[in-house]
Amino acid sequence: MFKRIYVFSASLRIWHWINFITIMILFFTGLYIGTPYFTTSVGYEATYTYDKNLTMGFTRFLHFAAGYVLLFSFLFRIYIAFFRKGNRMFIPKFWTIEYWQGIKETIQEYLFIKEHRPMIRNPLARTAYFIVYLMIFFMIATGFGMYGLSDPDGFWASVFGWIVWSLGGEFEAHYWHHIVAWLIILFFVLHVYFVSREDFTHKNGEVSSMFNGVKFFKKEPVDINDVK
Amino acid sequence: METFWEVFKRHGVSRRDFIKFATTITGLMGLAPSMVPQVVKAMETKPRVPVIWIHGLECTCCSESFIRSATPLASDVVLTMISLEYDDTLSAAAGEAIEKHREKIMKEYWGNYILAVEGNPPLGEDGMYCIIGGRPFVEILKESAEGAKAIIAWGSCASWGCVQAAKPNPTNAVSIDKVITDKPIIKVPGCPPIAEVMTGVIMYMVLFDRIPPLDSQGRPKMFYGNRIHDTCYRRSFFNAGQFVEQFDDEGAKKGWCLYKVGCRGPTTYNSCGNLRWYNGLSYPIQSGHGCIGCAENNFWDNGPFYERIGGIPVPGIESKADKVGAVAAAAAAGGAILHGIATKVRKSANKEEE
Amino acid sequence: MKRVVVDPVTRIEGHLRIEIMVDEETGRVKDAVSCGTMWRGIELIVRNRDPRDVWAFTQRICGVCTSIHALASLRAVEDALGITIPKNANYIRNIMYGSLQVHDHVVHFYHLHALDWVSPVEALKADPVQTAALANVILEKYGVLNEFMPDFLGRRAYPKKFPKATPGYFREFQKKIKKLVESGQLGIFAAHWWDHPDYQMLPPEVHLLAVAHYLNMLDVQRELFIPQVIFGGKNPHPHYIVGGVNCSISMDDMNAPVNMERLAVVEDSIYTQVESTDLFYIPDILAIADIYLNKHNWFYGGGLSKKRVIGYGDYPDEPYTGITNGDYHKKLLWRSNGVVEDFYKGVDKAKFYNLEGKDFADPEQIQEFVAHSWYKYPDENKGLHPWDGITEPNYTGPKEGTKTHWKYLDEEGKYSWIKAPRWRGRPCEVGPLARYIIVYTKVKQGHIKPTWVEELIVNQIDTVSKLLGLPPEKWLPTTVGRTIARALEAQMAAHANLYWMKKLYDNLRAGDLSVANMEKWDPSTWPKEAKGIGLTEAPRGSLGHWVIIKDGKVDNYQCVVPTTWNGSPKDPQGQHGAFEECMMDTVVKVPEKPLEVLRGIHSFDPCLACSTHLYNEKGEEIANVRVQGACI
Ligand code: HEM
Ligand code: SF4
Ligand code: SF4
Repeated sequence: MFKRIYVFSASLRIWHWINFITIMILFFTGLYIGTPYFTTSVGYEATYTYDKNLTMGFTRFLHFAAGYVLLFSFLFRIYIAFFRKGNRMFIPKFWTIEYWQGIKETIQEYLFIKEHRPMIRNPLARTAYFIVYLMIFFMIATGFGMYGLSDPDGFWASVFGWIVWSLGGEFEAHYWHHIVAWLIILFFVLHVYFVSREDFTHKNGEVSSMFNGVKFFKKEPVDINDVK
Repeated sequence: METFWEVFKRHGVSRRDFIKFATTITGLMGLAPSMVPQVVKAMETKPRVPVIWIHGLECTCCSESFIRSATPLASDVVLTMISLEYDDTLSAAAGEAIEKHREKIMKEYWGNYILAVEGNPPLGEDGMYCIIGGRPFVEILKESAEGAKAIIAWGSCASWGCVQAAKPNPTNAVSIDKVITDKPIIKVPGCPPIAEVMTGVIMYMVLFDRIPPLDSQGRPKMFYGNRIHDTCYRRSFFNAGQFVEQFDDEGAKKGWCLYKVGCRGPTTYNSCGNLRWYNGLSYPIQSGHGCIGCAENNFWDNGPFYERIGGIPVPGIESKADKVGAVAAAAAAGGAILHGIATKVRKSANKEEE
Repeated sequence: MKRVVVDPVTRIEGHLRIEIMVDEETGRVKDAVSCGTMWRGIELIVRNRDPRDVWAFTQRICGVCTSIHALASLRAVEDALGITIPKNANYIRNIMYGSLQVHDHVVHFYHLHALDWVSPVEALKADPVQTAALANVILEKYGVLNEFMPDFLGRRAYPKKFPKATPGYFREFQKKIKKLVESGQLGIFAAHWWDHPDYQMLPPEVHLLAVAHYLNMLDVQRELFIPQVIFGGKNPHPHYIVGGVNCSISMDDMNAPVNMERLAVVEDSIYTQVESTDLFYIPDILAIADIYLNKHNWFYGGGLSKKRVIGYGDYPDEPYTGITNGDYHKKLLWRSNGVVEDFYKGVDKAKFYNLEGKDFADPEQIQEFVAHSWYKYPDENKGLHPWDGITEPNYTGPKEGTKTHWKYLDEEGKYSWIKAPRWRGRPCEVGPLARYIIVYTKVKQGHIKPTWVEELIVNQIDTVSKLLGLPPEKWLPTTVGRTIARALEAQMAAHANLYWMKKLYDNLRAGDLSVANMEKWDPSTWPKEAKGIGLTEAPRGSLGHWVIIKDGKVDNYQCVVPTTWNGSPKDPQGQHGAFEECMMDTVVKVPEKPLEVLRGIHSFDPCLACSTHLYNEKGEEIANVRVQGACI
């Protein structure tokens, strides 16, 4: 019989989907900002492009609005990590032997050598999620840095302005904001694959877990302590 | 030393005109009208400041820009506001006479003169890519900085390194703040800086006897507080999504936004958009060319100038980031599919075995 | 013998050191060594970059003659890629170029050179009434050139910039100078050799007049560059694009970079250029020259210009298809291309060699040597054509002193950061003087049928000869002649700008608004490998850029700049450049204050890197003249 384990709290699941939607909006509006391709010199008059909402102004508005959502959902994500063990599974515990053992097993599975023991979340995934959180933070920091510097003495500039200068200047900030956007998308593609694969190979309800919160295991997963 | 008011009187300026002048420049410096009395007071009490202006590796465009200033006119600055005691480009005297004079001024006004540096020191070959009097420029720079009250870094050369510090930086040229670390340095970047920005900085320092408020990068806030993009008169076309696609196309004739032909306005801090060049006459964007970011650190290496964001930081790959990103995402998806098929095949094989 | 050091020499672009050995009895400069002491490596920095960006990099070679290295670079890249720019772009580039010529020459004379001739201290002795009278006489007498100066637009109701010539004005002026001198804070006038006897050669009234114009022109010079600010967005360092210019023209769109109002601003500035040269610059320089030549017999400093001068030609009247293919030189209005030898013997006896198109690609004609420069070549006895040029620094230090504290340079070995360009292995002088000598010789000897520009130049020279009462071969190849030629050239350029403006208007009226040829903008349209040459006549002399483009990137880039020609160190044959020859040709009155040598060096308008070694007749080194500067 499958053992049913409640892994993801409702708050985490809601956060996950909001995060997904905002990042998609941010990515596509961001790409458009980088290379505005809809309206060209043969496009509409300024007055009418506003009507069509095809403007750079509107796209940027969407980007920044989604940016705010991303910021607050990110803060929310950190906040809930304090209240539930299961919400802290993004921390790669590389100081434990179990972590390295898990990495080894996961790699072995991906190389078709042998399947790994049942795990609620394998350490490779944990590491990837950790990096993604860092990247999201980076996007928020550079994003609000660039956004805020239209008022160099304002609030956002004082909170995140520093990252622009530590990257070497505005050009570099745009540059890395753009590069990391693609890295996040790269993660997204792989993320979808590995989640589906896990579901397929281990029949553990990996995919549905982000909807209903539960995963199924035949044997007790090795990292059961992370949720209990 | 004389006060400003005395200098003006000496030049036959009436008290009324003097107050008028003070009011004008108060506005010019972005100060509230309530500051006028303070400005007047400053002008009545502060003496003319000696300036020593030295040149390292540079192209002298900063000096050239300086003399293009219309308000105030360079002649007025040089002969009535400051005392330009040493300058390779304008000083009449030469040789030992001018060098001795520099030493004399340094001694006489120790702690009171302003050092203006145009260009930068190369550190390669022990500094011998730039030699003055048989000595490396970097030595002259350190020596002259010692007794200075404050140091002005003219242009992108002194502020950031500029063209000679672009890759591969054959002479190992560095900005002056890499060499002088114990003095206030006012960075006035630009290649060259706008003339009125240069004279404005000098005027502020002379009038208030302190350095202008600086941003975190050491640049005067009143001239480098905003991006060109935030003050650009073509910004409404940017917001509307009306772009020049290629030089001299319809959009170019209509004066649309130059974003897509590589404008660096969104990433450049300078007064081109508001003050503009030549007392408001024009600026590169107004003439139809994107900003090349000449007031920014590293702008030479952030090319090519006609593309917004260049390649990705992997040597050997020169495509634009979006292209590489799309290819990488597609490759990842493809890889995932292949891996997925392999997984499935394996799994069914395993099942059969069982 | 007395050894004198002047270091740094000011009022030039960069730094300068001179050490000269003077025979105290005759005042003759017996020997000198000079050395270019700045190197930035821009030729190396532009490698592997997008050729469409390179104009901006090379433009930063010099901020005084700003825009000229951009122009040379654009021409080189367009030559390589086979781009013909539209007519409007050609006229606009010519206007931007002409504005540089006027500005650079005016600033050179008044702000870098004038204080070699005049002194604010002497100005105090002048009588304002007589100064006013003198100003009128000068305008009347030397203003005769204006009579044949063409005005292609005829839109100035009356001259707006006119020299003020009332006693009251000069009295006020004198008062200000007096107060300045009395204040003790002399600023830029501090510490100079104002007691030098040469400052007595001119009457005090000329000093007062010239000092007044020094300050007048300091305020006016900015206006001379307005065309670059309109078309290129800023100055110094205006913007261009490969394939034309960026300033699209439209009479239909309110926000166009160039519309009627913008053109009017340019036109107004061009008239300011005309007035500044016609009414200030030319009369002032001729008044001073007349006194120096005719009253004091001061014919020094001709040097190399007597023996050999070189020019490349400029002012394409209409767009050309290429430089290497010879079309550029066919379209020129100002064919100063060629070499003239022995002009001092008289224009009939001078020898002329043509130089055009393919000659600049010929590996045997123009070469650079590094035997005495701090660079490495595989075989340093041989010169290299710029396309094969190598820029590999190789600093060897001085002969005496330490690496970082020189005493004497090693004139037998390497001693300069400048290479030595040579034409068929021989040194040449470049600059306005060279160009004027070449055009004059070509026209007088009948090698070319003159264009209006060339006719104007001949006319200018003949008129000045008449005014001075001297034949051209006597006054032209001298320090004074070099300074006059520069003024004449500025005047020509100002009037030529009216011509370009007219052509621009005519073409716009004909309905052609195009300013850029974008066919070859995309690197995918370029050949895998291409070579190009960009030529122009920079204010200080002939300038060439040689580029090789491979796979869409710059593979090799070499600039041969005017001051490299003039200030070059010795070549392997021991032949000297123009600076050396000029100094050898000069006599100084006060050895420890060699104002005359300064004046000679300044007459070239040295731009940074320059380098000279001087030797006495027996070839023994006696003293050093070190010219230190920066260029590339
Ligand atoms: C995962 C999240 C995000 C993604 C994928 C993303 C993507 C992008 C991309 C691709 C660009 C174009 C960069 C360029 O070429 O200059 C961009 C620009 C920008 N983004 Fe984001 N972004 C994200 C989050 C944020 C956040 C949280 C903010 C904060 C408000 C933000 C603010 C900006 C700003 C200010 C710009 C520059 C807009 C401009 O220059 O007009 N971004 N973004
Ligand atoms: S900052 Fe740039 S422009 Fe100014 S001197 Fe330096 S090279 Fe020239
Ligand atoms: S032209 Fe440049 S600075 Fe102006 S709005 Fe467009 S991108 Fe911004």
